[in-house]
Amino acid sequence: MKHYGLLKMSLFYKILLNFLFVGLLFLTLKVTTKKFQAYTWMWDTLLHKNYSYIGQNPNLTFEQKQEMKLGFYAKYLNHVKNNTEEDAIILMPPDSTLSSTEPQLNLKYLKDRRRTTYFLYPRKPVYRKSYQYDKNLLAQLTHVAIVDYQGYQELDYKLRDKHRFTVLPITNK
Amino acid sequence: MTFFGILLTFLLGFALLNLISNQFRLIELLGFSFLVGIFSQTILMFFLNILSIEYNLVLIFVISILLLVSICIWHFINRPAVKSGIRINYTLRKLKPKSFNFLILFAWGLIIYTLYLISVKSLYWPTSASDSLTSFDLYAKALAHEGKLLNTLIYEKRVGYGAAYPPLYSMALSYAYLLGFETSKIIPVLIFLSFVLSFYCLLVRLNDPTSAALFTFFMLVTPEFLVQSAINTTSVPHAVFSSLSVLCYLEWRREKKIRYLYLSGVLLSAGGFTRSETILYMAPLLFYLLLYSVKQKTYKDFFIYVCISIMPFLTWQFFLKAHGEVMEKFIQVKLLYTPNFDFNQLNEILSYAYKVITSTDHYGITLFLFLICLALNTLEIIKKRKLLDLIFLIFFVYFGYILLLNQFELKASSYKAIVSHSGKRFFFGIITLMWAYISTNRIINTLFKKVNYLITIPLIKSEDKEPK
Repeated sequence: MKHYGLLKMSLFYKILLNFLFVGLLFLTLKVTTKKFQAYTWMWDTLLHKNYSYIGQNPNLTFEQKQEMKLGFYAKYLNHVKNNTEEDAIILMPPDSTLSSTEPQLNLKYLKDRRRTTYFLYPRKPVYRKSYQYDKNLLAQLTHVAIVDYQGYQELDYKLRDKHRFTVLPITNK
Repeated sequence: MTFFGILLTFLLGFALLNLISNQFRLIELLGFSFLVGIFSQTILMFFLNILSIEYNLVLIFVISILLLVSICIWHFINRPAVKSGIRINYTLRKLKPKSFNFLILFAWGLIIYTLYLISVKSLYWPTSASDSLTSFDLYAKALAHEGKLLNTLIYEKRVGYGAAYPPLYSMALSYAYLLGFETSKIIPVLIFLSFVLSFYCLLVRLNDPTSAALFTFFMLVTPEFLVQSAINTTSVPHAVFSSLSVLCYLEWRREKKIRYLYLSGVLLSAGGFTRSETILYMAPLLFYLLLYSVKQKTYKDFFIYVCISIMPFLTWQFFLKAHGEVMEKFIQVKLLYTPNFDFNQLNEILSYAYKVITSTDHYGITLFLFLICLALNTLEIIKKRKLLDLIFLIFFVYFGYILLLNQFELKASSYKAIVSHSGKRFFFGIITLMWAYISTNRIINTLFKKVNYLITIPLIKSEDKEPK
């Protein structure tokens, strides 16, 4: 009977000690998180802020998420992708056009041939500056990417209604 | 289809692990299966490419299923069903916990909660990391669409330098696209989940479950490591394969159970098939093993280990050489084969690397805790050489990276840009190894033995023994 009592007592103390150690660990985590900014940022922003944002916006489409994350250039490239066939060869605007647009549109990323390809693949964006790689494709262009009203001069037809950002077939067939 | 594809990868890994040995514990099989499965499938895709066969989903499915069936038949012939039945019963019986404490429950709660949050984040947001947009994920799209490594992106140079990296990661991402996923991020998520479980499995062999769970959690919340696990680049998968390989190797050294040596070889091979700098992990491991083999005068395991671990890496290097005319433009740096005695440059790299490794923004408390543990265990290290191989390996890889960078002739970028921006990713492998050391050194071991004695609540009646 004495042995049974001891077991019971030790179990009580063990549970008490368990709570004590969990408390200690919790305190250590709290202090570490407060002391080191990286942990605070990771816990609050990376994990919780993201999670609450996701909870508030569970039904965004893939393209909407891309636009949220990467800005207007992703929205524009998704527009180009959705309005061209998979085998399209698209003339992209020159750097000078892209540099003159508002910085908040993030269109500088359109200068990057690889980033543009990421959004448009298997379509082929073609840049005149990349002549060494794209020279064969310049003769086979099917579309022109219109950015900031630039690119209409590449079309072999005239349009009355002009959009600031769009993609158009190079010939009016 | 998506679920079946992932399940098939998992089952293939499960079967291959059982082929190595049927002595792996269930939790180890769960942890390592996806890692081994996806590696074997990318090897399959690569060899199809070498044979000039374009891969597609049907082909991968057919070959994977055939492989799976062959392994099952092999098991049926060589390991009779009765034996397997006994083994399963034994494993399930071992799953019943004999004791528990609240600390381990709390630690596991934190691990699961953190993994859940980071996985949700990772799966929700599309790829946005520059390296992935211009290299790995972009290349994966073309691999899935065209089924070959030398595709239009390569010929028209529409992909970044990542195309010259060993192809495990891009091919794994391409598998996700072939399965019909909108984003390939299921792959890094599954790799990371598998890693955490595998890391725990290996720590628990060296220490008690409570400290293994706690230190797995601390390793998991290393800030930069957790951030990068949710983006689509090769650094975290590389760290996963390399560090697990080292831990398996150490487990083999400790217990001489051959299955861990073979598993280490497979994981090292996967590391070498993800990033070429795995050579920094390969060199000391092969050197240790060679020394051991010479001492024991048995070379069979050494040759098996060398073959397993080096073959995919070497085959990739031959592939790059064989297709030099098209792949040359993707090689970011030129490696100098004669020692570079430019000490100013070395000094510059050292100072950048020091800033990176000591940054608490990147690795939190890891380095400081590691150094404290080293200091507290100095006598133990000197007298008993305990965990000396792990400590040596950590320092070898750190300085190895610096010396390797010193041997680079950069085509683009600068050392400052490479070390300051990418350097933080180079050290993920040794950061996880530092946590392995922190959790398994003598001081922590003794501390947790005492703590465990105080808090362990037995579920099955057994005699309590005070730790020595």
